[in-house]
Amino acid sequence: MTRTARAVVPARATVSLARIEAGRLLRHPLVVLAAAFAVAVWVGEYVSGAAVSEYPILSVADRGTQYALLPLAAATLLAGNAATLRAHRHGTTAQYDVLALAPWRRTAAHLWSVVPVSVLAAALAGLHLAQLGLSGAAASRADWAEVATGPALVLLGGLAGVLLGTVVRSAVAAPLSLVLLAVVTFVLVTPSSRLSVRPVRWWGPVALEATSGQPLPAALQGRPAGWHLVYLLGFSVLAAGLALGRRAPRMPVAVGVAVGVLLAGLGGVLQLRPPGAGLIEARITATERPSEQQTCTAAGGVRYCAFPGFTGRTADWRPVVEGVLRWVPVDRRPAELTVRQRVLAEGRPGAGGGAVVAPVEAWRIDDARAGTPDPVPVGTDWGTGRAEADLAVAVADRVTRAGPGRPCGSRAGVVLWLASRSAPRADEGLRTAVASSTNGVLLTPADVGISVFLEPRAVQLGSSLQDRPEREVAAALARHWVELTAPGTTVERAAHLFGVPAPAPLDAGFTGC
Amino acid sequence: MTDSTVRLTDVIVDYGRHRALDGVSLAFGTGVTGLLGPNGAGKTTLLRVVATALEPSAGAVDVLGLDPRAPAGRLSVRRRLGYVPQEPGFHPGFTAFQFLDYVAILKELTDRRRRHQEVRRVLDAVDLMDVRGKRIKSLSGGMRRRVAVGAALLGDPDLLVMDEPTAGLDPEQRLRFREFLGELGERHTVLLSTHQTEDVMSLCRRVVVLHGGRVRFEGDPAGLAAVAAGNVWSSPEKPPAALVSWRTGSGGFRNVGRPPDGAAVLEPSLEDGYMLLLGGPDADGRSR
Repeated sequence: MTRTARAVVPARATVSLARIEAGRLLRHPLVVLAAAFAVAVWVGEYVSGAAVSEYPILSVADRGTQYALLPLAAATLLAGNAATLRAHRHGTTAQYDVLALAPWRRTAAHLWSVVPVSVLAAALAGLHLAQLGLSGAAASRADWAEVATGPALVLLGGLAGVLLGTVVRSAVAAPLSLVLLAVVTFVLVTPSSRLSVRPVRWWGPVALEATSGQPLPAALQGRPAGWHLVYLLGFSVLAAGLALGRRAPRMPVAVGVAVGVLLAGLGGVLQLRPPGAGLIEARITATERPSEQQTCTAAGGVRYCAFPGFTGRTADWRPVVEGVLRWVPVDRRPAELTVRQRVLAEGRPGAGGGAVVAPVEAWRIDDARAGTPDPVPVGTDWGTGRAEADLAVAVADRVTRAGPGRPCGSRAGVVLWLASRSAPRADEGLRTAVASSTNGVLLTPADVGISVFLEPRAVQLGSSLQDRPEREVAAALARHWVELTAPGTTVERAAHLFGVPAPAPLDAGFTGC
Repeated sequence: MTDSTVRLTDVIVDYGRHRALDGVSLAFGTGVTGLLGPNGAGKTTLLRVVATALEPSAGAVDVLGLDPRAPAGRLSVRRRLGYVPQEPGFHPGFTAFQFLDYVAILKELTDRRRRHQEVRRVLDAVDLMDVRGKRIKSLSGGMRRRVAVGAALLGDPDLLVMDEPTAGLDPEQRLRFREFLGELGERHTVLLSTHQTEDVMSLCRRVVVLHGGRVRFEGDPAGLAAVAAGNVWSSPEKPPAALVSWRTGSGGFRNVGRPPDGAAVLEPSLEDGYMLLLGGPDADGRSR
C-alpha cells in the first residue's frame, strides 16, 4: 500500500462506518420518538390554530425551537452512548481491536455519526420557521443563532454520549448524566429560580426569558444567542477531542481540545456580558419614545403605528378597531384616533430592575411631539383572544371617554359591549376573561403597566347586553350615547335605557368603581 | 523454514506473576497448523500474540514478514489477518449480512458495491446465504460461529487465526467446516487451536502441542502419532503401569505407556502420541 493509500483508506473507512452508524442512530427508537415529538408539537400548534402558529413572532419562535429539540438532544445522547458501548456490551471489542481500523477511528466514526442527527434537527427547525414565516401573519425576524442552538444542542448531546461511552463503560452513566443535566437546567431556567433572571442562566443548555411581558421586537431582545452558540460548539469540540483520546494522533486532538476549551470559555464569558449602551438606549427609546422607531400607516381614518417587523400586524388590528367604531354614532367618533404599539423594555433582564411601571409622562410628551395624542395601546402579541380583547376594550374606552377617569358605571358596560361586538376573537377573549374573574374584569392592554378595570356590575350589564339582539342595543346606544357614556350615569340607569334588568347589588364591602 | 508466515522466537508472555508462554519458538507457513493442548496450556495466549491482540513480554514475533510490535507493522499485519476469538461477540440486533458488512468496513473495505460482493461471497462460503437477513440473535450457536468465521474470512486474509472454531458445531457442521478449512489451507496460512484431535488428524499439515506454556511437540500429525510408537498396547485387564488406558468396544483395554514385555503392541494414533506427551514425565511429571 502506498503512503497516500495508507492515509486515505482508513479515512474512507471511517466515513463509511460513520454512515452506517448515522443510519442506525437516525433509526434509533429514542431518536425517532424525540424527532416525532418535536414535529408533533409544531403540527399540534398549527392544527389547533394556536396564536404562536397563527400569528407567530419569529424572534420568539426561533428560540422556541430549542425547547422542542431538547428531547432530541437527550435522545441523541442516549443513543450515541449506546452505539459507542455496543462493542463492549456485545463482547466484540476483542475482535474489533485486531482489525485494520484503529479504535480511535471507530470513535471518530461515532462522533461523525451524530452530525446527520444534528442536520435533521436543523432541517426540522428550519422547516418549522419557514412554515411560520411563510404563513403571512408572521412578525419580527428570526435570529439564525437562536435557530442553530437547537441543532447545536443535539450535536453536543450526541458527542457527549460518545465521550461518556469511551470514558465510562457502563450503560447507566448516560441516563445518570442526563438526570444531572436536567436538574442543573431546571435550576437555571425555572422562572421561580433566582438564577433564572441572572446571566448565569446562559450556562445551561437553553436560556429562558423570565419575564411576563409581551415579546420585544427582535432589535431590542439583546439575547447573546451567538455567544451561546459558540459556548455550545466549544463544548462540542471539547467533547469530540476528549473522546478521541490519547490513541488518536496527538496534534489534532490537542488542537481540538484547546480550541474547544477556548470557544467554550470565550462563549461562556462573553454571553454573560450585560447589554451594551446602544441596546439599552434603543430599549429606552422603544419604551418611552416609540414614535422614533415606529412606522405609521393610515387606514379607515385611523393611524396605526408599529415597530419594525410588526407593520404587517396593522392589517390584523384594523378589523378589531373598526369593529368597535362601527357601533359608534358617526358624529361621536373621534376626529383622530391612533393605535400605537407599546413595549416595556425596561425591567427586562439586562436592562435594570423588575418593576413594571408605565412611563406615562414620557408617552404623553412623545405622542404630543408625534401629533398622536392619547393613542390606543396595543402589544406585540396577537391571536390569543386576550390580545384582541385588550385592544377592543382599549379602543372602546378611548371612544367613550368624555373626560379623565377610568370606565365606570354605565360607560364600563358600554365598553364591554362594544368590545365584545368588535370581532369574534375579541368576544371570545372577553368571555374567557369574564368567566375566569369573580369581581369585575381587569384588562391590561399591551402589558405595559396600564390597565382597564371593569367593575362587577358593569360586567353584569355588559353580559346582559351581549344576550340582547345587536340591533336593539345598537339603536339604544345611538339614541342615548351621551348619557350612556357620561361618567356619572349608573348601571341602573343604563339598564333602564337598554331595557334590560338592573344588575344585582354588590355584596357588602365592595364599592364598585 | 524460510517461507514461514509466522515465526516466534523465545516468546514469553507473563500475566502478572503467571507465565502463560515460556520461551515459545515455532514457525509455520501455508496450510493448516493445529494447536493442541489442555486447558491453560497457553493456546489462546499464543493465538492472541499471533493475532496482534497481545504483545509478548519478551521474545521476537514475525508475522507475514512484519514486526507487529511496531505500529506500522501491526497495522499491516491486521490488514492481512482474520481472527476468530475463543468466544466471539456479536451484535444480536444486526442481521448476519449487517454484521459482516460492519466488520468489512472495519477491515477497510470502503467501496460499498465491492464490500457487499465480498460479504455475499463470505456468506456463501460459510453457508449462511439463506439466513443473511436474519438477526443474529435468532441464529443457532453453530450458525453464529460460522458468522464469526465469515467475519474472519472477509478480505481474503493471508493469515487466519482461529481459537477453537469447531467448538459448538454438530458433527455434520464440523465435517463441512473441515472441508471448508481444508480448502482454505491450500492457499492460506491457518492457525487453529482445538481440543479435537480428529480435527488435527484430518486437517492439519502441522501440529503443535503446548503444555504449561511450552512447546511439547512441533511436527506433522504422523510425527505426533509416532511419539507413541511402541508405547501402545492392548490387554484384557487394565494394567497398573499404563499412563492412560481405556476400555475399547471389543471389551479389552487400549493402553498408553511403557508396555510390559510380550505385550500386544498396537499402531499408535495421534491421540496416543498427544496423551503420551501430556502424561509422560517430560510433561509436568504427573501421571495420567
